[in-house]
Amino acid sequence: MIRIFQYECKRLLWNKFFFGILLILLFYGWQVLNGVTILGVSHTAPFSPWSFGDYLSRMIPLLWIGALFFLTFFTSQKAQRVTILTNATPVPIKQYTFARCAAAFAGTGLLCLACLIEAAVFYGQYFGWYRWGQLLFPALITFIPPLIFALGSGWLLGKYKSWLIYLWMLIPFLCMTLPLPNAFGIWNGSFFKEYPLSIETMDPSFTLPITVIIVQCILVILGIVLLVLDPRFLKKMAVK
Amino acid sequence: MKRIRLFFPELKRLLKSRLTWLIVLLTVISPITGLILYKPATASTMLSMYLANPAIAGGVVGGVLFGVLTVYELDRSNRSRVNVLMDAVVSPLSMALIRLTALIASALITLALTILIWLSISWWRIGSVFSGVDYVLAYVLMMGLALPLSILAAAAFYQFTRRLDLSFVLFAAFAGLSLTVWAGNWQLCWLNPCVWALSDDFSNFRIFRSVTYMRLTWLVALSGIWSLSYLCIRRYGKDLFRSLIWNVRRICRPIIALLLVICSGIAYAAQPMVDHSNPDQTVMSFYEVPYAQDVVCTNRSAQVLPDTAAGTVSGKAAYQFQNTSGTEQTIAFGINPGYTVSSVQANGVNIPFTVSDYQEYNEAMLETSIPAEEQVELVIEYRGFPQEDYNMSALQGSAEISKTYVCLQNASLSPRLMNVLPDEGMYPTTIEITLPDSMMVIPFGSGKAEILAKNNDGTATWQYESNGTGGILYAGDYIRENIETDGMTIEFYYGRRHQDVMESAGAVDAVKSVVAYCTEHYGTLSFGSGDTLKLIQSRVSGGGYATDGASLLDEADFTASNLGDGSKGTVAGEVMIHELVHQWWGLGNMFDSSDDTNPWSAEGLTVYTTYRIVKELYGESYAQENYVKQWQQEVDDYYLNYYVRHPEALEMLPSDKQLEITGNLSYVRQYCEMPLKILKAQQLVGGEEAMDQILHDLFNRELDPAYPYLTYQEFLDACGLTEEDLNLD
Amino acid sequence: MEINIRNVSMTYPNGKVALKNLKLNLKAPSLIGLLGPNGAGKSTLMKLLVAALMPTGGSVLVDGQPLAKTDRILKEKLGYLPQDFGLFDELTVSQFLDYMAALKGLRDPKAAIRKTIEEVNLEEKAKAKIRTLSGGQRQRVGIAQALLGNPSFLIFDEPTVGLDPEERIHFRNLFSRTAQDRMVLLSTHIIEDVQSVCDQIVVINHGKILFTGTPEQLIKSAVGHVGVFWEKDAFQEQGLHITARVNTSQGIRCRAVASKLPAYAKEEEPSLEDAYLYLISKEGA
Repeated sequence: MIRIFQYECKRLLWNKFFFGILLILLFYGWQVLNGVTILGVSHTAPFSPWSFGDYLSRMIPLLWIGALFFLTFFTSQKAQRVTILTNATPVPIKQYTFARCAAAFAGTGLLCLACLIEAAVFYGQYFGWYRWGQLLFPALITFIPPLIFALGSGWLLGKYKSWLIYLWMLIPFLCMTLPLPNAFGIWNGSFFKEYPLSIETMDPSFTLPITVIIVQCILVILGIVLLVLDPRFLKKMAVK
Repeated sequence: MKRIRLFFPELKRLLKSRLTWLIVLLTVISPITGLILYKPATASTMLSMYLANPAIAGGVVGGVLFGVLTVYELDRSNRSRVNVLMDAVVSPLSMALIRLTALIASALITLALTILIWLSISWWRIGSVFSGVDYVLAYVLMMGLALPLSILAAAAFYQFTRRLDLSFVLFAAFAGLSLTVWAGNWQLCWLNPCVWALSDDFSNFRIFRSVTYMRLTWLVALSGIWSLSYLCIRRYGKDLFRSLIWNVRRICRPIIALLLVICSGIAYAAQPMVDHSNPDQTVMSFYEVPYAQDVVCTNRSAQVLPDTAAGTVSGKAAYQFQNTSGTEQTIAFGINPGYTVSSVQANGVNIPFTVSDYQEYNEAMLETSIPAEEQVELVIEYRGFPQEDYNMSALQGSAEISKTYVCLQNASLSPRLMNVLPDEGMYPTTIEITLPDSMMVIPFGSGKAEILAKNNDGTATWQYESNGTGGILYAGDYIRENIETDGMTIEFYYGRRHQDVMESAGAVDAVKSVVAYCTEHYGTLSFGSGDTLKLIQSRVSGGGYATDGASLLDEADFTASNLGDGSKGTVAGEVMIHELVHQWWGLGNMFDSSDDTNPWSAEGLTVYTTYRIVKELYGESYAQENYVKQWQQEVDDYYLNYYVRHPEALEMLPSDKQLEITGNLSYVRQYCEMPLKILKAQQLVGGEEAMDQILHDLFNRELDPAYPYLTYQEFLDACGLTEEDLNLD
Repeated sequence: MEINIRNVSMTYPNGKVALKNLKLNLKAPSLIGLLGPNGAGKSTLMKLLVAALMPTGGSVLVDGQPLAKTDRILKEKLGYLPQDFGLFDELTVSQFLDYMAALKGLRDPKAAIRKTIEEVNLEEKAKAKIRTLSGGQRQRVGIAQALLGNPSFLIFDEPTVGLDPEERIHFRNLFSRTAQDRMVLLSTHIIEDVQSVCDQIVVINHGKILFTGTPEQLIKSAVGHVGVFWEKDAFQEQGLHITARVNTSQGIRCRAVASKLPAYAKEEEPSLEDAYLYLISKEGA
């Protein structure tokens, strides 16, 4: 499966699309860092976990789109025509799906990493600040749940109808316009702006309310469940 | 006929593609980026924020998307190798034309969908000042025309290169140029037109004309470039140059292509919208023209006939000179560079004249020699499309001439006399202007316009007297409210479309309160003439200004969204009060605005005065709750700001970033901290009455003409305090 | 290896009946030609055999075991070339075959890939991106991936489409060699291919099997039903299916199949194509 993973990574990452989205991501990220993050969020430093988290939550829509675009490499009609060949091989479908999703996850991970490196360069260049370890937890809790959910939900939708993935790309933009409950604050970025103010201390250290942790955990679980869920099972359910 | 027959299947094929529908969908929702991300129109009018910005952003995003679609679709037949079949049936040249028209048709369908879908959203956001004409024109011109331009450009790049990747790069670079390097050049920014403001209350035809001209110039240019690329379509397996040689054998093709390119070049060079004023604005050579010896102007008049449909002006200006020099004298006038002078007559005889190619501050110099007679009547006939200043070409729209608004300033109204002194210090002037009878004429000054005659063609001729070499005239679909205050009548003119907003903001009461309060506490406005002051709401212009007897209020200060801006006052009427107080603190007394991060600005005293008026109107607890507490909250937040607490972090940043951040922070210092300091000063000097007296004295102080600004030090000195005394806890 | 198709029926969700109560027994080693007009049900049958579809009726047994339970075991022995397939354009030929080798779980993929590339004459294109290949070359990549790992059951659906005559002969011979110790199911419209290499023929039409047997048996069934005549001598006659018209200096010479030849027709020795056409026309009548 490692060879499959390697080849899928090559397909996903060694092409104009990946470099295009990387460029767009870096450009947008730099705009956010220079225009918003630099001011600091909720009275905290620009390099505080809160300001950093705000930057990350602003990057999520683009990363979401990037992750779903990776899935189109597997669900497009062109890719479906190759599936006729791969389906005739004895490879267990779950392992194969796992290898492919791992490649998509690696691609998404690379995009995330680019965002993180960009922020690190920004902090180093503008503030001479290098204590990146402090930002690891906000990065993990902000990026991983929505992106796993993106891959899981996108995979299932793409299996059902490939064009649904494109519609699904708009979800984060929809979230930005909806009045989401506080527990979903990471999704529309409000959490990093509002929560530190509610703590009522100067430069509060990074903590998460239990509801946010639960929502993020649910997203991870849901993403994984959707990823392993067989679309035929859903069809059967629908028939019942 | 065959091409027309093939067009519909091609369009049908295009519309069956999911990518097409994805791009249509994204284009239809793309105006949303103008509401949240890309806001090139910086004015705060409702139409700028909720119409111009979405339309321009829609054009940019849609244009880029359709460019991508074009390259992708043109490459599709190569990719799928269907061109082998197609070329056998239809000539590749015909097919290129059919594909282009199908793509443009799909762009038109997209535009129609966008216009339909955004209608209700725009109507809802814009509110009572929504105008259907502005809406449709904005979407068609600012968004719609970007799509065919992108399609033409992308198709041309593909037809030249026949490579998907190279075409994308070329198109991206071409779009990128418009969005960056060319963004400030109104003729070059093909994708994102230079529109800084749309008026809510008056018409916007001048800016629409400018956008249309730019779009059409590019349409011709890109059609020409596309036609050239059309000649490069590869045929019979030949390479680019051999295909070109083959395709130009039908001579009409290269001729049309070259003609289009040449026409666009001419259209670019001979644009009628802006003049060629000297970009070096430190040069003021027209003010150094030597005065004619022993010649005085005893009288002047002008009959001005704006054509509100065409946006042009024709006029006849007459000047009475007394020439006691006994020799011919050269007289110079400043005239709008867009006007053509058809004749100059001296005492009824045509005389030669010249109009300079050199232009400065939106004027060209008209020179003529008057005969050596003692009494000379000089009559100048002129007509044309008033051009705007080259140096303000990215901010066009001020020379609006329509059925709802006319603003003619100085040399655009009638030739401005440059080098003749007045007789006894006066240039008695009579202006006659004929406009649609729905319009009200408002001379910017003490003059009063009256209807001289109502004409049968639905127009009315107005006349007013004034004094000066130039003059400014406003006319429009205005509502006039006469507001009697202590010893002064305020004539308050505002656009009819703004009536709802003004009424709901309690405009008349606000004006009354402010004038009564400020006159009583600080003194009469210096630009009030006798017992009358005209307050004229102008079309969005980037700020107000004042003269004897009249003061201008920018409509942007009174938009529904501005009136809802909590930082300027809690309720709409209070924002109105804030803007009117600026007539005293901001126009009546100027503040040095060279450093816009300086906490001492017109805003401090204006916000403080607004608070005082509100306190008088609504009581102390209301003012305390909605002003002092809010200032305190903002100031507290300010001192919690990371950069305020850690100035060393600010110093680490590059200077441009420092400036940006201090700019953001200076808002609080100007709008909240300074009023709090003035409030503290009020307590230290002994209360409100003492402060009122200090401000009264400052308002009426002797001005230093070299530096007429009110400084913080002057304020502190007047209070007998130091900066440290006013430090907040 | 033995495949037993027992009363298999297949109806698609849109209601289209592709196969009706099909019965067939296939045994290795053999090269079975699957013939039938377009839409006869050949591709559906092949999809059932590779477990890409599940029959709506009946069952397929592989070595006595139901396919539904042993599809993984079947796939380990299977090489499949569908009629319509896609390739990863962004990979090279070798990389794509390596990808497929990984999916097939081959232990020594390099040697297997090298051998298969040689077999399909793609040595020069081994390092070329698939997007740069011509239609025939892509078809050869398809064949190569099917042959990869010496599967004991090979299914080729129109394998020689897009190949030049020389290549076609090359692949025919390759299939024939391959079938010496394995089972190869070859679906094609090119009768000549079947005639040259197949030891068994299955003719299918409208989802039903019309014939199973050797090519010789099929030819034999058409003896007395193939004739030639001059067009000028012929009348409008029902049941006469013209299979060839040749313009000659003496007039137009026709070759036809019919249940009962007319008197003016001279009986001829049937070819496999005649026999196939006779079978199909008989079923149509």
